[in-house]
Parts: sequence; structure tokens; C-alpha cells
Amino acid sequence: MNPIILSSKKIAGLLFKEQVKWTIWFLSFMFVIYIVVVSFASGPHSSFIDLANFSNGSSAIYMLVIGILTTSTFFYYYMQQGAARKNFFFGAALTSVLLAVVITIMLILLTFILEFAAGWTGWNIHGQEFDFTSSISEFIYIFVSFIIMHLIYFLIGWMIGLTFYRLGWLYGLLSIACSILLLAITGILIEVTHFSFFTNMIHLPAFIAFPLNIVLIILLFGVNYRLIKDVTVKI
Amino acid sequence: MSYSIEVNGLTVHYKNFKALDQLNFKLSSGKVHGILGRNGAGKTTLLTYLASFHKAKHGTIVIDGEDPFENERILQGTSFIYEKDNTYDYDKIDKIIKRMLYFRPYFDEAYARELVKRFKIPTNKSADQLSKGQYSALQVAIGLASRTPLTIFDEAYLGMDAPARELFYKEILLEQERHPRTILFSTHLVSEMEYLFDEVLIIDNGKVLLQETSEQLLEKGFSITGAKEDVEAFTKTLEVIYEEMLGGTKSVMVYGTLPKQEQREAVELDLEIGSLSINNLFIHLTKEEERT
Repeated sequence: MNPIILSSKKIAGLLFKEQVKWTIWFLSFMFVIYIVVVSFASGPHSSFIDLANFSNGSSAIYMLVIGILTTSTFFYYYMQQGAARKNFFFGAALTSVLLAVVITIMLILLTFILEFAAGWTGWNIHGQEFDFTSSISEFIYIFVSFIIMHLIYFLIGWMIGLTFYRLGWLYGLLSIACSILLLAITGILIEVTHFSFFTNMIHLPAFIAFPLNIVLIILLFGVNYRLIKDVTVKI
Repeated sequence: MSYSIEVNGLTVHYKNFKALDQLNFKLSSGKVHGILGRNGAGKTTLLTYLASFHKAKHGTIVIDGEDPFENERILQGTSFIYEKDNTYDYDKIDKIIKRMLYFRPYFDEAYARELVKRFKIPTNKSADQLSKGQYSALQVAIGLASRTPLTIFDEAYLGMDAPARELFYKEILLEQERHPRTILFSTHLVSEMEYLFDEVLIIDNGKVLLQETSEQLLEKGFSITGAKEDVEAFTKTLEVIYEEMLGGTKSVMVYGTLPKQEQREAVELDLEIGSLSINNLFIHLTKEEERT
């Protein structure tokens, strides 16, 4: 018997390779745009560089978009190549976690590079909203928060894409409404997120927020698996 | 290596419309099967179920002895080639071919490249820059070179010009000699490819109208031509699927076997007996269904 070529691991590898390529393009464009903006900005607004503001939420939106495209682009493609739905799901799930980690590492690296460059050129960039350089624990806290935020945004995007694909536009719109609610919850749970409606009203300590984040992630994985496991491949 | 197919009681509803109605048939492995039917007969619906793009809710599908849905082994061995939109396919042809090595265990890259060359597909272009016919030819080349035990071509020739289609048909015959597999060929352009089919399954209004080997089917169709009165008397008990008149001469097409005794009687009556093509049978059998 021939080995199964399109295993979850194999799909994860191929997806990750492709998505990292996209991510490098995305971050490169963002970096260039940021440099141009900072070069021309003057006054108090020129000091808005920090890890969260550097991407200005766009990395999260990027993950949301990749999540949406996961179904219409990647899922459709792999089904044509003879992959099983469950293998695609587990491959894409693994990729989503890896990508969330990689994009966070890239963002942090870019922030360090910017700080270094700012020190060298004399820009005033000491306006960090999030303190991630003062101690290891702070760094880990911010690092993990960003990974979780990126992962949740990806999973929400994946859910929206899958709902549109499987159930049509009406349920798709409902999934968007549901996603806004989930983003609001994410805003409460994760300090670093830019889409937060209640951050100023509710502040949850980390030991409560992190387990709740994990519950939310598991829930989203569960919903996405239910949506994909017997979905019709449209031609 | 090739897969056999067994379908039992497959029924598919789209809201109030019954696309497939209690389909029962077996397709033997290693053969080229013509899946024939008029527009909207249910061919593509059936093929999407065989390719596991849908999950069968009513009825069962067994491919190579197993349920194909979410079956890694069967899915990996099944290629489904159909008309696709290349508007958003920005990959280079070279990359598309190379990537197939990741997906199909029997993919022959050299053969794929040879076919691409013979189909005159420019390899320096990206897929979105190809014409519709060239993109179809690319899909066909990949389908042939994948050498999957079950290869499904659903109107895969759309947009391909006559020389390209001719090349495609010839390659199917050659490939069946070199690497036999189960090929399903859905088409309504029966006349130009009927010589490819080992077996024929005709679907009409979501039901199996007939399933025969090509030889059996050809033995079941006759044309009878002669004097109007003689032809009418001779075919009174036969199943006439088409008739036409020219002056006092009548020509009819008959579906069913004609025993030797009756053939002799026809000769005695000075009637001319000819054979029918699969295309003629297809046209008039599906028309007849429409009438009744």
C-alpha cells in the first residue's frame, strides 16, 4: 500500500511554507509603510512606536484575512488534490498555531530593529504602550498575549470563511455578527488587542484571562471542525 | 492499479428537486466508462459524489471495497478533472506540474511535461494567462499524468480545439494500455468519443436509463429501411425509438436484439438492416424518455 501523501503533517508543512511567504510579504510592506510614515511625521505623533502600535492591529487583521482565505483558497485547492477533510483541518490547525507564533516573533524582531534604528538615528520612539523589555516575565506575558490574539483572529476568520462556504450568505453574515461579539470578548481577555470595547470597564487578571482564552480557542477549533468535517466541496 | 465502483440506492435532493433517484450500478475496474446524459441529467452530481466532494446521505457508494468519503487511500487515488476558472490561478505552469509530485503517488512528471508540450501550452506563462482551451488541456494533462486508479473527466475538454481533443482521446487509449485504470468520462459529445468507451452508463432525469458494454449496446441498436408497409409490419412488435419517411421509403431505428430468424425474414422482405452508433442510441433513447 502506498503511504498517504497528504497527511495532516504534510498539509501543515505545505500550508505553513506558503503562509509564511505571504506573511513575510505582508510584514515587509508594513515595515516600509511604517518607516515612510515615521519619517514624515513630526511632533508628538512621531513617538508612537511600540510593539502593538507598530502593526497598529494590522497583524491581527492579516490573520483574520488568512483565516477567511483558508477555506476559499487553501481548502478548495487541497480537496482537489485528494486530501481528506480531517487531514486538512488538523494541518490547517497546526499551521494556524505556528503562524501565530512566527508572526509574533517577526513583529518583536522588527520592533527591536526599529528601536535600535531609532536610537541610531535619534528618533523619539520611547512611547511604548506595552512594557516588554523591562523583565523576562513581562516579555513572556506580552509574547504569549500576542500569540493568543493572532491565533484567535485567525480562528475567527476561518469560522467566517467556513460559514459562508458551507451555509451561504445569511448564516455567513450571522457569523460576522457572532465574530464581533467574540472580538469584544477577546478585547476583554487580551490587553494588547486593538479591538476592544470594554477594556476600560473590565480588567481581568491574567490567571483568569489566560484560561478563558484557551477555552475560547478550543471552542473555535471545535466549531470549525464541526463546519468542515462533512462540508460539500463546491465546484 | 484501478478501482471498481458500486453504487446502491443513491438519491440526492436539492430542496424539492430530485437530482439523483435511487441510482444502482456497478462499474468494473480498469475500464473506460462513458457516463452519458443530457444537460441536467445528473452526471456532474453523480461524479461529485463519486469524488467524495459530497457525503452521500441516502444510499451507499463503495469504491475499491470501501466507503470513499474521508477515506485517505481512496481520495488519494481519485482525480476529478472538471472545467475550472483560471482567473485567480497565478501559479506558473512549471510550478503547477512540479507541485503534483507532493499530491499524487503515481504522478509522472516527464509525461506531464511531454503532454503540455504536445498540447502547445506555454510553460513560461502563469495559469491565469492561458486561454480557456489551454487551461482545460493543462487539467487534462495533469489528470492523465497523475495515473490515479480512478480518474474522472467531467466534460474536461471544454474549450479545447479539435486537434487537442483528438490528442486527448488518443492518449487515453495509449495510457489504458500502459497503465490501466478506471476512467469515468462524462460527456454529451458522444459521437466523437464513443470509440473510447468500454462500458456505457446513460443517466436520464436522475435515473439509470441503461448500462451496457459498448459491444452489447451496439448489438442492441438497428436501423431498418425499406418499403413503408413492409417496415411497419416488420417492426410492429419491436421497440422503435426513431422513424423517418422519404416518399414510400421508411427508415426506423430499433432498440433491442434482433434474432437471426428475424434478420432472415427482413432479408426476405428486402429490408436493409444497419447498425446504430452509440450516439444515435443516446440521442433517441433520451428523447424517447422525454416523450413518455
